[in-house]
Amino acid sequence: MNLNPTFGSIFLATALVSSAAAAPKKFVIDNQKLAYRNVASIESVADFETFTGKTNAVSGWISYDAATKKGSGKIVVDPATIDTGIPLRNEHMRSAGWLDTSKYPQIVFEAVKVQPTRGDEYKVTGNFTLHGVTKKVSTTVRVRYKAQGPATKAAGFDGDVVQLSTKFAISLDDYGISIPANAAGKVAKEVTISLSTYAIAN
Amino acid sequence: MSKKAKLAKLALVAGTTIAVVSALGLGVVPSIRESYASRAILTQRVQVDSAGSSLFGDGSTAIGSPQLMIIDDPKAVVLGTDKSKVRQVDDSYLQAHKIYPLQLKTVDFTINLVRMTMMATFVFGLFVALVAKNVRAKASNPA
Repeated sequence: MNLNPTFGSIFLATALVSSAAAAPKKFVIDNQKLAYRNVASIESVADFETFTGKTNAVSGWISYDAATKKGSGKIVVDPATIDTGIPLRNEHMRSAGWLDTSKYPQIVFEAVKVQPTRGDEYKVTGNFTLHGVTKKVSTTVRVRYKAQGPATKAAGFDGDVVQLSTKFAISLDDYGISIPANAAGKVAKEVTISLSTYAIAN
Repeated sequence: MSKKAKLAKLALVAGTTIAVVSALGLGVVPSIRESYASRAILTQRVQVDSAGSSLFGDGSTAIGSPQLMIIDDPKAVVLGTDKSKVRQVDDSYLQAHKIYPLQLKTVDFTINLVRMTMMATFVFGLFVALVAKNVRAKASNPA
């Protein structure tokens, strides 16, 4: 079959544009200028007290297509920056008996399966790595998208914005972290991991 | 008075004192707890970022879950209440002013511990006093 060269070029260009439109966009988490907007936390609810460790040191990327609701991503948190509000407890948490942050400097969640559920919620299954141990975790993630415009600019974002938030519980035992007897009642065996982060596509 | 009777008298005084002090302590504990409970408010620590959060209609980002806390600095509670009547507390303010609010559950835990200790000392004091009283009675009246 002979194609008219002009028609062929238009066809090819249209096909490329269509495929580009359908491809998920890559959003990068700004861990410099807008880092304070990213909040990762770990909450322990024990008999003596409830404490929450928080950090803004979140990095990574999200691939997301708002039209097809497909996506993937990788989020990295620096455990050495988690602040529980008490300096001595921070030191303990970073030490070899707990998170051992010098040996395991990253907490990572990497999505392997993303399924839209309802509205802006997705069931995301991924590999969660903590203390050098990787386990499969399923969680509900809320993903919200805003195309670049006056609202995103007013909020200080330079590009399309994706905001995602999630919360899931893990057992510290599963990740090789055992609670010493002297901390029993002060630290729960099961903790809740929460994340709220913004990613930008320029 | 024999040495045994003297010792028994001493033990009687000590036991009675321990029991009375413990009983008084047990009586005071509820009012101490109440003084803390009356100041405790249900709070949610939040990260305030009005510009970023307003992009999606959120007021702020929650950190952890709501807790009953005793916060003496009213400036920390800057955001009033949310829909579920939980007072929002600015986490940045707490960090900047090195405030680590006392939780009511910590007060309860400590008070329960004190209560159990006082109950134990009350029983111990009572036991010592009763034994001493018997010994003293026998010592002063050997027949």
